[in-house]
Amino acid sequence: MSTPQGFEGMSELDQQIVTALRDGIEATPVALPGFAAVLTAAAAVGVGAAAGAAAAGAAGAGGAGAGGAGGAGAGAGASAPIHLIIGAIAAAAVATAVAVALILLHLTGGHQPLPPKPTPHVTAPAPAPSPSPSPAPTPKPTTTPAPPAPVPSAAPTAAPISPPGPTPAPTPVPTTAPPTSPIPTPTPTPRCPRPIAPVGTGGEQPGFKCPL
Amino acid sequence: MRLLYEQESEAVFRTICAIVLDRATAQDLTQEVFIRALRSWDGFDGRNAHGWLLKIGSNLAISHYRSEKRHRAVPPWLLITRRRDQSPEEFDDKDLVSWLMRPLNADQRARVVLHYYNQSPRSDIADMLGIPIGTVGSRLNKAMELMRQRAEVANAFPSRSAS
Repeated sequence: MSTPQGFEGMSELDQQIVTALRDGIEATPVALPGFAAVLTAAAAVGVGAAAGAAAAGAAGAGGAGAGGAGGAGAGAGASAPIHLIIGAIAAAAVATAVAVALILLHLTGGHQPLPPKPTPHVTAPAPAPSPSPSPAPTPKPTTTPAPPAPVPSAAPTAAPISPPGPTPAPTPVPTTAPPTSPIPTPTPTPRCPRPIAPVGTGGEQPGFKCPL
Repeated sequence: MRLLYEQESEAVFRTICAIVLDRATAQDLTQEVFIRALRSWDGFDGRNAHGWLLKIGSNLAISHYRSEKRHRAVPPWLLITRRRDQSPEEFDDKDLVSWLMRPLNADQRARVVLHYYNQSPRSDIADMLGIPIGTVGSRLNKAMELMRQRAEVANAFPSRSAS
C-alpha cells in the first residue's frame, strides 16, 4: 500500500494534529481476546442459526422454562445452549405477553355481558312512571301494572278522599264511596255534600247541617 | 484466519477505537469484525485483507456509533466534565486523540483515521465507505478544519511544538 498522505502542503498546525493523532492512536493499549475466543463466538453465531429453529420449536411447545433449564445445564462451554436459552426466554416472554393479553381480554369481555342484565331491569321502570305513586319496589313488573288501571278511574272522583292510600286500598273505595252515596255518610266528615243536596230541597238528611 | 487475526487485529482495534472513542466497545467490535470476516470468508477475493477488514471495521463502528447516539440518554458533554477542566497540555497522547476527535461525527472520524493513521488512499476510503472520492476529500477537509479550530481555541500545541 502506498503512502498517499505525508506532510506535504500541510500547515504546521495540521502536521501537529496529524502527528498527535497517530501517536495517540498508537499509544492506545490493546487488550484483545485470543483467536480461540473469536472462533468460539463465530461458532456460536453459526450454530445459533441452526439452533434457532430447534429452540423456537421447543419453546413453542410450551416448555419454555424446561428449555431454559435444559439449555443452562448443557451450556457448560458450548455456545449453542446459549441460543436455546435465549430462544426459550424469548418464547416465555411471548407466552407471558399472550397470556396477559388473553386475561385482559377475558376480563374486559366478562364485563360486556353485564349490560344485558340491566336492560330488563331498566325496562321495568319504563312502565313505572305511570304507577309512580305506588312505591312497591320488587313486584313492579308483575303486580303494579294491574292496580294502576282502577286508580286513574277513581282518582278524579275520589281523589280528595284517598290519594295517598296504597294501591290495594283504593280498590274498594271508588266502588262504594262516590257513586252510591249521595247521602253523606259519617265517614266523609271533612267533606260537605253541598253540590249534591242543597238545604231545603229534600235531598239532605235530617239533622245534618253543613258548616259550609 | 488465525494468522490474519494476529496480524491485523491491533490495527482494526485501534481504528475502531479512534472512531467510537471507547476501548471496551472497540474490543467487542473488533471481535465482531473477525466473526463477520469468518462468516463471509468465502466471498473474500484474497486481495488486500487489511483493507477488507478495515472496511468491515469502520462501517461497523460507524453503525454502532449512530445507533448508540440514537439511544443515548445523556449527552456526551455531561460525561466529560472532568476533562473540560483539564488543559489539553495535560493530556497524554491517547487522551489528546479523544479530545481532538470528540467534535467529529463517526463518518468524519472514520475518514480521518483511515486516511491519516492507516494511510489509506482516498479512493480506498471511498470504496470502503461507499461514497464518492470527492466527498471523501471535502469531508476530510471539514474534519481537519474542526480539529484545527479546537486546537487553536485551546492553544493545544505550543508546548508540544516547542519541545
